[in-house]
Amino acid sequence: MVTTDEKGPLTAKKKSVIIRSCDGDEFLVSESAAVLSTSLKKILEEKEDRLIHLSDIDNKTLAMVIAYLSTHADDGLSDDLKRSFDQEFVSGKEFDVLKYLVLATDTLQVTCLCYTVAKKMADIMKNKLVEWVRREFDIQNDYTPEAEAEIRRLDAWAWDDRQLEDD
Amino acid sequence: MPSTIYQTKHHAVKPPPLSKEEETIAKNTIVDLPLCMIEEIISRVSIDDLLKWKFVSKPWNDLLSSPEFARIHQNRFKQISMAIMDYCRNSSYPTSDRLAGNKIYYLPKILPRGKMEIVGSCDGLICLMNRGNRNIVILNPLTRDYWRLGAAESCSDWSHSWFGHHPSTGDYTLFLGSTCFSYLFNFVTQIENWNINNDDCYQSSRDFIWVDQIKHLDRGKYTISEEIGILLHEILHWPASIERCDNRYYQTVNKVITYDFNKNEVSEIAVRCSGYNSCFTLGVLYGCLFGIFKFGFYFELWVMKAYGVKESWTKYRNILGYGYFDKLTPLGFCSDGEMIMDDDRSELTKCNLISDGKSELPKCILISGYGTVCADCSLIINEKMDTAISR
Repeated sequence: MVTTDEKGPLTAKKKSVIIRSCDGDEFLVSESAAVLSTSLKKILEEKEDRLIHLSDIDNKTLAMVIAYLSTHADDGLSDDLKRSFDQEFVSGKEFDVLKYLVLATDTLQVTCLCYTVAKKMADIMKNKLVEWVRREFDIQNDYTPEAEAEIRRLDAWAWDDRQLEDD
Repeated sequence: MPSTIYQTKHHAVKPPPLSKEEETIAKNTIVDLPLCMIEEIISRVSIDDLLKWKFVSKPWNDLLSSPEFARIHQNRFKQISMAIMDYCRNSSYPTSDRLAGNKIYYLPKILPRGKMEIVGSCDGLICLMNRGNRNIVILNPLTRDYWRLGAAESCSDWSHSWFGHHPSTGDYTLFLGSTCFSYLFNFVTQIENWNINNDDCYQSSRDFIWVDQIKHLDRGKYTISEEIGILLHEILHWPASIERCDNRYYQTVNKVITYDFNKNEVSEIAVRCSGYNSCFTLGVLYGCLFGIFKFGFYFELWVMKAYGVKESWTKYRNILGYGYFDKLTPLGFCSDGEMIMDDDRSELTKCNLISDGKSELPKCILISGYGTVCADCSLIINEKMDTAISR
């Protein structure tokens, strides 16, 4: 059985929740951090279950989300510190990692993290070509070459910025 | 089989930077983001990229073309990122160095250049009207979409106008007015319901509803110095000057002509300040109406601190460095307190109201022959519009 960590007086005082990822690993989270996620909060309100199983979030993503939640639940940190944490949290992360994260924030309903991650993803996507978008989002091009050429042809008049007035 | 051995991991409250190994998630797993998440992400991307990405796939095209997405995107980008001006009344190229480096877009040739005038803008849409046949066109310069509405046949001529959301109904509304009449046109409730038949709409007027002819009190003859109205407190405002005959002397008095949406009437507000010439312009600053008046070689910015009270007009500051222009038209404000202005219909400048400095303009869109307007970028497009007619 799980025993709560007796090391610190902090954990003893605060209620904790155990969250299990789809890989089977478990994370001990303080309740104050867990309720920042709207869906976890709902689960905790409905039943007194201290063990929550998340079947669609893997270890690494869950660890990141929990790190985020713990920081934002910490009353000792100023808003400025939390903001700079947010900045650091998403910086340097690969697009793939962010995709898992944004999906997890959707499942867990953590709106502020969702916005931070979405903003970061949007920043990465700046000036990217269609091919890049298709690859990163794993999208099949469902235009037939003819249809695509036709749209491009119809649009060409508008996008040719070199077109000068001839009147 | 689910793991039965509990492994408890503790995470410090202070987040540890995750190790490289932890961050890298196996690339071979495919994540399918639901469309709503994609919407969440790409609604934070600028329009230039979004327009390219309609070729990604059909669902993406549908998403980008939907009015709902256009509205979400519009709300996320509450900033002036587009200015439109008439730069080539006399020549075909922008003459000012200040405008160099800006993107220039050319509009569909089907719109008769030089005959169309801007009567207002809203949501990145620009409402144009032909002074000759009084046809109304609404266009989105970024998506290159445009809707040709019918002719406003009831309207003979106009000296001032406004286009935007009706304050109480939210409908797109066009106001056209002159000294002796005013009309309000209501466009069919929502833009996604606009049903425009491209073949015959140019002749018909069924695409908009004539709503109201507004009663006028006789206010004498006035001259409007800036055609496009300013909305504040559900009231439209235009700067005007009225000639009065006092003891054999003709005198010009500055007034603000107003149209109140709630009362449905045209009225006027007194102005305490009179510049050297009768041409002044209006804007909104910190929720107050302000006017820019010319005094010799500089401009003064006056604010009406209490709405409608003549005595509350207070001088806010001087605007220096524009002495060679007759009129400065405020088009909009940037987040940092800078004001984008149109000088005499010839140049766009950005003036910092706090530090007096001039700074670089945001990206401009220059369109020939249409008049000046400043608007937010918007993706609003009508999905039903057939691109083929533009050819």
